Amino acid sequence: MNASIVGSASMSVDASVAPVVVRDVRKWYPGAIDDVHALDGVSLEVRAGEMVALVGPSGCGKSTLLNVVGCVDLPTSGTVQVAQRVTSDLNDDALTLLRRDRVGTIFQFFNLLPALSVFDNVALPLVLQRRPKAEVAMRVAAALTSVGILEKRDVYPAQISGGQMQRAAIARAIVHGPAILLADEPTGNLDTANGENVLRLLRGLAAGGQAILMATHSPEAAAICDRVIRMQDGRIVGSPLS
Amino acid sequence: MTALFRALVLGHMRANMLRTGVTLLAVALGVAIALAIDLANATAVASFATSVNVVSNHVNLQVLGVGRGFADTTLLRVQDVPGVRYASPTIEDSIVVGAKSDAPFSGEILRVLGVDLLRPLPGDQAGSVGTPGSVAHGGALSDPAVLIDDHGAFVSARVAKKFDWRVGAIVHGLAGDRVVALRIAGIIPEDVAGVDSSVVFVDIATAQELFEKLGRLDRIDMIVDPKHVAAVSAAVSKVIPPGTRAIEPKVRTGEIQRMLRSFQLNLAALSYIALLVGMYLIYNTVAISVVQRRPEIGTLRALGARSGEIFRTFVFEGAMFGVVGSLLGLALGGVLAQLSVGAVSRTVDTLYVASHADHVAYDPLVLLKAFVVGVVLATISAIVPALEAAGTPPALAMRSAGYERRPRGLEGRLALVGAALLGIAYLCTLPPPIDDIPLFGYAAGLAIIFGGSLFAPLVIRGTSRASVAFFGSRSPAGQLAAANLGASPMRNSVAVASLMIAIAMMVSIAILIGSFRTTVVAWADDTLKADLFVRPLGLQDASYDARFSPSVAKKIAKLPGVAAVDTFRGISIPFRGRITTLGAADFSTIAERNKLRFIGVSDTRALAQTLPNTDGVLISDPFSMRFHLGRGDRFDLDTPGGRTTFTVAAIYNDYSSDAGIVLMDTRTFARLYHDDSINSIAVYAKPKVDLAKLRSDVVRSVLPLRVDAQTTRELRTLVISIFNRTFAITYALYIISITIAVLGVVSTLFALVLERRREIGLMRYLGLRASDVRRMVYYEAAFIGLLGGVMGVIVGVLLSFLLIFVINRQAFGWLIELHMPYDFLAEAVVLVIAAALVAGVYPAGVAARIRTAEAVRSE
Repeated sequence: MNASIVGSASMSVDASVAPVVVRDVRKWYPGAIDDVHALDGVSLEVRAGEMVALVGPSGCGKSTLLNVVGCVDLPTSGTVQVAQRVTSDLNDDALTLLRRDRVGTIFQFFNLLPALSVFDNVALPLVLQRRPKAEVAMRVAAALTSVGILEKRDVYPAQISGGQMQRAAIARAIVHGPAILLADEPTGNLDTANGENVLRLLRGLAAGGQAILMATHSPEAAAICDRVIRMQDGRIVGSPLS
Repeated sequence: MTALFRALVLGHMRANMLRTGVTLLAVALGVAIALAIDLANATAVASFATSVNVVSNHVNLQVLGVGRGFADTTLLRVQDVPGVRYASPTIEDSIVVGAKSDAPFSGEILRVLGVDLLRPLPGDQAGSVGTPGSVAHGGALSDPAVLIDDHGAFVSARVAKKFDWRVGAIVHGLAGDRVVALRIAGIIPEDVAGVDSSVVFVDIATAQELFEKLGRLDRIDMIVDPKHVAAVSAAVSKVIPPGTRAIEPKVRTGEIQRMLRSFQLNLAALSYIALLVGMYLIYNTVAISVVQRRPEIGTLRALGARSGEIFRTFVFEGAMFGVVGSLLGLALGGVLAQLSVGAVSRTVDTLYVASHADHVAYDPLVLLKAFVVGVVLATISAIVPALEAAGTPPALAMRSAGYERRPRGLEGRLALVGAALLGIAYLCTLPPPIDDIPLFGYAAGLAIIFGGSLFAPLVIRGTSRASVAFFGSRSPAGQLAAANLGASPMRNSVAVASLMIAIAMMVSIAILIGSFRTTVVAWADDTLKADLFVRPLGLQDASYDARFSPSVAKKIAKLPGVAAVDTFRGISIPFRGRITTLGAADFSTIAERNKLRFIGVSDTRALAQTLPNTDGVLISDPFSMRFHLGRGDRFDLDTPGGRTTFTVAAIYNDYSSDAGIVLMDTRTFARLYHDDSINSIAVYAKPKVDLAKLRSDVVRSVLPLRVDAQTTRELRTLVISIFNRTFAITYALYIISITIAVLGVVSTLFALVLERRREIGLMRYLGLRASDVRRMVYYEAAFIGLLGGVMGVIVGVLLSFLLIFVINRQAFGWLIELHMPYDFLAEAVVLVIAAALVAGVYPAGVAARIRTAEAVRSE
């Protein structure tokens, strides 16, 4: 499939269509004896302004689901539609661009680049999009303000606290206005107070219209979401697609 | 310890076969090149030792003459000295075989040893080859009549095969300008130990006749009571003529070693640079291993491993690289030695003394030394990273993989130490050499290299910051590469520093050679004033064996087109424990045709006019440097005409011998040394004479003697080609150093890519394309190449000053004018960036293939 055709078809975003649509997705990894069925017929949608929690025991397929929605992995079968583009129709470069422009990700371990300042870390998605310098400065400042650490813009990740690192990571994930914000255990590496702050931030983003899909083990995190999807053995077992 | 080693090192080595292989290869190359040069040097010296042993390995005292030797009646007096058990007369000279008249430097030089084949010394190889039924083939020919009347000669199997000589055949060669005939009396098989393949044995009587030394000897080989060598030597000294001396063979070998020492030491110092670059690579490999194993180190520390055990484990890793790499290096070095021994011995033959080394002497001590040096340096290289591993707090180690831990401001402090080292380097250029070895100069070289290296972290940090700002939003790949450069300043520093050293070495040698060549060409232009230079036909070495009879000069002087001729005679003489050259030239013509560049003499003509009829001699600049003699100083020479005192009339510029030259008037020389032979003739043509015709007239006028005449231009070309050959091996050395440094870049980039797997995965997550990842690694390679290149040029220029103004001046006495090859310096930077980019190809490919999801997940 020609990526550019898909790309041009999706340029007009229809607000009525959910940013993430997953249909009957299976993901198998080749194993030593049998294939591992990481996802086994998963379907779900995340709409704009909706905050959805993915819960379930370790190995249930949460991360795999985030990977296929985050366009870093492709399903073995079924379709994943992100910002109205079917990921399995895209080649590696087109997939990379979709990820760059339409997906934001928050990791449990923040994954800030130690060699770059907080500002440069947050600016990365815009730098990768080759946005003009002035626009980058403005949007990074706005993102840092929205997470409350503008004053830390010039310091390096090693010089700030874990909570501040996660705020910087959130700023990086939203700075380019993604269609979907993926969060993988965003509070897993934070103390209670910082965890609550981060959740409050995310809740606020959803209220502003941001679609959020969050994998979590934390009951508190799941509790503030609009919807909780429970997974087991690669399948959705509770709160299925409504 | 072994469990720790397995856990921390062994598996890691296996999992990183490429880096392990690259490191081993680098150590092997470093050890190999050092070994090859050491072996080649040792071989050159060993070939002198065998020239004594070849006659008999029991010889423990010799009588040596100079120039045309001494009267053979001396033998009778020496034999009568109490304590002398055996004394054997010897003539040592050379002939050229296979020379062609249209190729002036053709043929092969064979060293002819004339010994008493009829009455050999005990253990005498030459005697045994002449004995019927012994090692030589064709023993039937060892009839005294054949040996003496027919000029019977024993040649090696190699030479016989090369020229297709059979036993009984009559063969021709050139003894100086005369054609001589020999009859092959026997062929020495290859398995006769200790016999150099270019040695030809003849009977002493034959040798005296061949070389026009009737009634004369070059030396007497003696076996004396080993308990009283000194006493016997003193007694022998009393009965031998003036100008000759009794000396133990090992002292004589020592003199030759001293003569070659500067040349060999410089070559060895260069070869050790390759080893130094290899050291940086080991440091790097162990440091990477420490950083990558940090979580495991933390776990093991948490489980109770002591920091000393961790330290020993990583030092052991370095030692292992040393052991395996050095073993590989010994094998490789043995092969390289075969190649380098030819190059080294050719230079020694041309510039110093005939050595004829034709096979590598694999001295076990030299092999052991190379191995030990390799292992020790490798172990030392591992100490710093091992200390870092041992000092890591367990909690921190368990938490963070991959990133460098370093105190803030370390870069600045290292640069300060670097600056201090450069200051020390300057101070080291001030003291004089110690025993003629520029030890402080070498120390200054090391200080410059290490001092320069210590600037690398600061330069890297500065470049990183500036480039992050420069690339900004222009190129994400460039910006990331710049940031990465600054994120691992120590790691990148090692790669930059090792490149820097290799480039610095290349640059400094290029500047040295370029400057030296320019200086020598200018000197040759100034001093080669004659139109034709006449010398005996065939290849020649530094032994001054190829002589004319004086009649040749007289004949040439009478030719119609010739305005004047100058003659030169040189002999090797011992002087203050060294071998140096005594030259004889006609001082009466210096005033009208001054060919010498005098130093510090304003009125050359006045000097030249006062020279004849005095005891004044001229000394070359290196001679003056080496023996600390200046104008007006007086010194003694033991001549066959007795001990004579000379005054230094002037010092002149010379680049033909670093052993130094004393030049005296032809008449003085003939009177004192009883020697009127000539080694070369300079011919001045009358105006408008056709040189091509004059040349053939010269060659024809002296027939049947065989000479060759060269024009000034040809001789200049020869001077340059000798010059180039002398330095050929240094080119090979620096190519190897650069190869090792580029291997270092591959290893560093590859390690950085593996270390940053997660980061690169994250960047891919954020939208960096695979092609951008590849580009990023290329940018990093280019950064390393650029910094290594620029720093290498700067350090190289500093080193070149040191080489030109301190080391070469002190070691050889050469006065070299500095000439900067600017275009070459620019090329060097471009070359190193290109090499670094090539080194980046594989790591870039690996980086581009990193799988996004897996890399990010692996925490």
